[in-house]
Amino acid sequence: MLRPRGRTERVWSRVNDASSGGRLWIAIASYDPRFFRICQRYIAALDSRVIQCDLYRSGEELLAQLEQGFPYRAVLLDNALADMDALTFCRRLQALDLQCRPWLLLVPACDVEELDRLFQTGVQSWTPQISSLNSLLTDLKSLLEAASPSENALDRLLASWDTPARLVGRVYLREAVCLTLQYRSHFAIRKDILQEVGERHTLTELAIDSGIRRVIAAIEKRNTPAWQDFRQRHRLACGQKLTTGDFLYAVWEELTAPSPDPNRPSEGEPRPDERETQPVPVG
Amino acid sequence: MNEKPSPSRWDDAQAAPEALGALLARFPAYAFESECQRSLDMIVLCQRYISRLVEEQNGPQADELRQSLSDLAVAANRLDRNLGSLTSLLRCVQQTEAPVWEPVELCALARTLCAEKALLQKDLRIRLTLDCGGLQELTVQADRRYLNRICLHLLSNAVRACTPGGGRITLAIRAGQEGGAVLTVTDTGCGLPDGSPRSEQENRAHFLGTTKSGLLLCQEYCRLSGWTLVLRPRAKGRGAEAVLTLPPRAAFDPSPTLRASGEEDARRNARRLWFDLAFELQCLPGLEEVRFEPPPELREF
Repeated sequence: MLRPRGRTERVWSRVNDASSGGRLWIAIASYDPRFFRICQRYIAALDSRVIQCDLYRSGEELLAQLEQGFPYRAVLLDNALADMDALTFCRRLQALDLQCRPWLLLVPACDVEELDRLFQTGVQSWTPQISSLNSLLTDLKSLLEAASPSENALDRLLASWDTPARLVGRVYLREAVCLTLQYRSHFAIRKDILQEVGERHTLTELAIDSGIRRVIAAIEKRNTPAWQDFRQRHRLACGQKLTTGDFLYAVWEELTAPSPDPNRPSEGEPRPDERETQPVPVG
Repeated sequence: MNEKPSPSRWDDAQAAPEALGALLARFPAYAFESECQRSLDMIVLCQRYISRLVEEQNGPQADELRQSLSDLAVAANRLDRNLGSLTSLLRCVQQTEAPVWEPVELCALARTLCAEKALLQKDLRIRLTLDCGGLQELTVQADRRYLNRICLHLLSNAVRACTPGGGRITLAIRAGQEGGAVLTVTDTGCGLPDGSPRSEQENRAHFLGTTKSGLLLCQEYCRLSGWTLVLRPRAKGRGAEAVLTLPPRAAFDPSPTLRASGEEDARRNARRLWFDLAFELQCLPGLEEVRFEPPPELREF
């Protein structure tokens, strides 16, 4: 694996980024450095802010990482690795626990039909989404759209602040945050977010704003250590009344920007033993 | 009515080899090859054109672009080589690849094969030695294309077996006992797999990225020309030995003969072989980005 230093720490930090940053981790597996370079650049051109790649020459190492629960959503597999060919890797992959398997298998150089047959056999039937080079770009884009680790991270964030579940504003908040995540940089709170959520619920943007502010007030009242950390991290001074806009921007930053301290677990982050099961499309 | 069903599935086709044969015979090999070659040429020309455009540019973006263009050239070379093997094999299957016999001087051919030995030593720490056993010349009747292809394949295999880490390769030429010749390529590389998982894995690691179609083509050329090719472990120590035996063949054989006459023909043949050698070496790990220059004596056409 081409990760020469600080491996354990970096793995931990990447697990954090993978969920709290709403990022998509992809493993690229090949024997050939050129394959790495070409795929990395291709993916970077697609969206380097969201997709992050780890490189593996050894199938054994990648399988071990998956088995330990590293949340690779996709594996981009060459036709061979340094220690095994692609089919052997896929057979071994199929023997892993369901929750350890990636959701998407990108196999530009493999026989897709043969892999389909392979994955339809076995005790635990599991057919990953299989992509070829022709559909690679489309599949990566749809993977990006389908992947919603940010929503899960948001739920964990709200839970860490002890947000009351019964408040209707919580629904508006979730929807508003999900909308913000569609933007790369700035967005207009009223026009792009609140109005949009309001239209879904046939409410005015003011009603949505009010609902979200009630949630913020409830969180402030509980004032959990996680919330205090959050405020400090996003320079939201104590005692300062938060507007819906400030709050949404801070949550958006929390979910999209990488953690400044790679070793600091985020509140929205599951511990390794809390990892969610990967989606398991059965085709 | 006792009509034979037409094969519509692979299973049926297997049961009817004549149908498969007919399909292969009908395959438009020439059109396929020329279209593939044309596409490859276009890729390579575009690659060179863009390379020329970024030649003068500086900065990290230009460096990245240059690297991508180099990766593109390497991938195109590999595709070219594999397609070349495939189309040659196809011609063999379609029986349009009959041998063309002509006198071939083996010592000169071997010298050209060793033309890049300094580079192999410098870049891959492989010492390539030519051993003609005291012979100055040894002319045999052979199909030059077959012989060039087989020799290049054996040399390329030996280099792969010694990479990385380096080693020794010896190219030996000997006259056959009753005429003909024996050409041997010996290397001190990873050796042939002996059935143990360790040796299988080691062999696999040395030959990653290969298709084995080159060896198949060599075997087919041997079958067509009545030569024998034996791969065996090196007699002493680690490594392997490939022995190509060219039995004697009368110069007055009734099959058509194109006689290479004169120094100019010899130089043209050597030049053609050198370009094939450079191309073959450029497909090897560690040499993909080397810019080969013909030796001075072959530079001008």
